[in-house]
Amino acid sequence: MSVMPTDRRAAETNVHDLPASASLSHALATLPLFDPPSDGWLRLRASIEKGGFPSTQSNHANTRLTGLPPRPWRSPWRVQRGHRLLAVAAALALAALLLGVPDDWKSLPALPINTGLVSPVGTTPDEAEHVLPSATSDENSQTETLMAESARLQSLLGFTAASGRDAETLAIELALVDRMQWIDYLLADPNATAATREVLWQQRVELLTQRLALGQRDSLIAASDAATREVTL
Amino acid sequence: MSTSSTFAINLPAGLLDSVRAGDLGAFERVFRLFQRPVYSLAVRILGDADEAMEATHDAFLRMNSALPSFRGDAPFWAWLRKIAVNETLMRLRRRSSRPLTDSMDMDDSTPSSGHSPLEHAQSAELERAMAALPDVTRSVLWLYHGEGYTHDEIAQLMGRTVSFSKSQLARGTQRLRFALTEPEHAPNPTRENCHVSYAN
Repeated sequence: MSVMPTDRRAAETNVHDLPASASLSHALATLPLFDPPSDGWLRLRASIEKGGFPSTQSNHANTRLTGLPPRPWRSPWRVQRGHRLLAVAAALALAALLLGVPDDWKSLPALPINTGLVSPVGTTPDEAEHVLPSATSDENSQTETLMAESARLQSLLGFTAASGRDAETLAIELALVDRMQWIDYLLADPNATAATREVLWQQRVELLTQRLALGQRDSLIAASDAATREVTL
Repeated sequence: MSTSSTFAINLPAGLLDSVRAGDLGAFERVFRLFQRPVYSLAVRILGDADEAMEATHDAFLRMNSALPSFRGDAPFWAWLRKIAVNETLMRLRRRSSRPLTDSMDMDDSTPSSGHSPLEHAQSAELERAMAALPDVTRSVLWLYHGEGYTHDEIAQLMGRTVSFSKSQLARGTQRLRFALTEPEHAPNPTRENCHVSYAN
């Protein structure tokens, strides 16, 4: 097991190197994490299910990256670039929402990102109320439930969404919107499988829940501020 | 000097028991909790998004198969991190087309400066400078500074000597400092051995 470096490594560090060493440790430790591809769990689940669960050492080699097609190479830089485009789109959509302008961001040209996901029929959140997936089974039933929940939460969001009163709240809200835009982008992929859609809808519901919680937090802060002002007066 | 690993996440009680019992939902929770730290570690060591994704995938499969042997003597996150490091370094060793020792010519002198350039380095500059380092040097630097491993542990993980780890760390730190102080003299990542252009 490895523990934090402070004590154990003191003996092996040159005293004269400490300031630079410490600042390098700090600089490296505070670098942001990379966002992994969104289909990581699907691939892992496919491997586990193919090899049985719990898996064993013997089937490990046979379960490596099976069940899904190889994904095209995509560097973190390209991922980040894609996220930046999505962030811009998210910011525009949020700005449009705040300004009361009809949001027509979906008319934007397709983003130049290969999602790496493949197979049949996609349903976007907007189409969800009108078009149900063509496939059958429990999976679709679960997806329908998630779609309904997503629609319910989305309608609630209009009443409780964070207003962006402070920079922190706005940053969190934008990050959540960014992720939702990404999920909506993936849901719009006509090749998304039923299993993929189910996971994506699940994530969409989770994000909407987080946005609602953020709005509630914002309301609580506003109420607290108002109460404080009253006491002060 | 204090470092907190991004792996240092404590699991809810009973979650691992559920994974051991074959609860796929519990396994998914563990995966989602640790996916980003594992993937980020792999990207930083391998410098390649695709390879990092495969290393992440294999690390979680390895975790699943080895879980029955996890006794809880160490925190789960430290145990998983070691699996992830091993998986990633194994991939690094398999790279036959890339040199495992650094070969960049460089003046040994360190530019003098009134203040530490590292303190003022922006994340993007640091990422670029790290990406430009040779694979092994970058790995040692990351394991030591980013994850808090000791030279003994790094030597064990990499199958090298303690002095190898120390010399790689010293050289890597020097190069990093030089690259951040004199960016125009920084090694060119496209000429060096990394696949990845890190985020701006």
